Amino acid sequence: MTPSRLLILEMQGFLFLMMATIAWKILTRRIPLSGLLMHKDSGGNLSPGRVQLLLATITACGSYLAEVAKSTDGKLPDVSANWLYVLGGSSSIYVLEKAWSMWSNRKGN
Amino acid sequence: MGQAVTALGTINWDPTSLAGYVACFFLGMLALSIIVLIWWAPPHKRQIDLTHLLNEVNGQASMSRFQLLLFTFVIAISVFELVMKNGALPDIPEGVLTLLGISATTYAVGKGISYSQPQTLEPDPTPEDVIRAEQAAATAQSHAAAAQQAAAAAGQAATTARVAQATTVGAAVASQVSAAVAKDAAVDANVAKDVSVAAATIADASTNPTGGSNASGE
Repeated sequence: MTPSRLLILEMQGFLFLMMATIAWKILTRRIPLSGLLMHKDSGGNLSPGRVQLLLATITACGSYLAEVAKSTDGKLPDVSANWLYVLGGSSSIYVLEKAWSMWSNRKGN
Repeated sequence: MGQAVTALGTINWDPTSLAGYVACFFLGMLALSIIVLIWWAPPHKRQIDLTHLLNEVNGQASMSRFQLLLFTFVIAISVFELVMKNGALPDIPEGVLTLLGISATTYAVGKGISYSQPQTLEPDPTPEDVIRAEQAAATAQSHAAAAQQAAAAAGQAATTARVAQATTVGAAVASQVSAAVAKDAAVDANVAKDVSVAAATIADASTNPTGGSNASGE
C-alpha cells in the first residue's frame, strides 16, 4: 500500500466520520436547529426569506451532487450561471429581509 | 532499502515512501484525536464542543451557517469522489468558487447585521435558567398564598376584637343604665317613704285634733 493510498483511506474515513457525527448530532438535537426558519426579533414568526434560502440551498446541493455523480471526465463539474443567479438572488433576499427587520426594529424602538 | 509484505500489501522502505508513511501517521493521529475529542472526552472537559456549531450568539440556529456547512460538505464530497476516481486533485471551477463566495458573503453580511442589533445578541435563556425561573415563580406564588392566608387571619382577628370591644361597651352602657334605674328606684322609695310619713301625720292629725293643737302649741 502506497502512502497516497493510505492517506486517501484516512481522509475518507475522517470525512465520513465528521459528516456522520454532525448529522447524528443534528438529528439527536445535540446541535440544535431551533429557530432556523424563524425571525430572530419579531416574536418568533416564520421567516419566508429563510425558508426560500433553505429550499434553494438544498435544491442546489442535490443538483450539484447529481452532476458530480454523472461526471465521467474526471473534472469537478462547473456550477451553471443560472444556479449562481438563483443562489445569489436567494441570499440577497435573505440579507435584505434581515436588514429590513433590523431597520424596522430600530424605527419601532 | 527493501520491501516488506504485510497484510495491507507491499510496503516500500525508500526515504520518500518513509516520509509519506510518517505524514500519513501524523494526519491519521490528528484525525483520530479530533474524533475522539468530539465523542469520548468527558462532558465538562470536552475540548471540541459542536453544540454551538450552527448557533448565533443568541443561541438560535443560523441559516447562513447552515448553508455554508451544507455547501462545504457537498464540495468536499465531490472533490473527494474525484480524487478517489483519478488519484489526483481536480481543478476547482470558477462556478464552484463563486458558489462558496456567495455563501460565505451571505454569512459575513448576516453576521454584521446581527452584531448591529444589540437586542439580538442577548442570549436566549438556557433550560437551566428556565428551571430556576420556574422555581422562583413557584416560591413567590407560595409566599403570596401564605401572605394572603395571614392577611385573612389578621382580618378575622380584627373583626373578633371589634366585636369584643362592642360587647364591652354594651355591657358598660347596660351597667350604667342599671345604676340609673336603681338610683331612680331609690329616689322613688324615698318619695314613697315621705308620702307615707306625710299620710300618717295627716291621719294622726285628723283623729286627734286637740292633741294635735296642743302638740303644735307646745
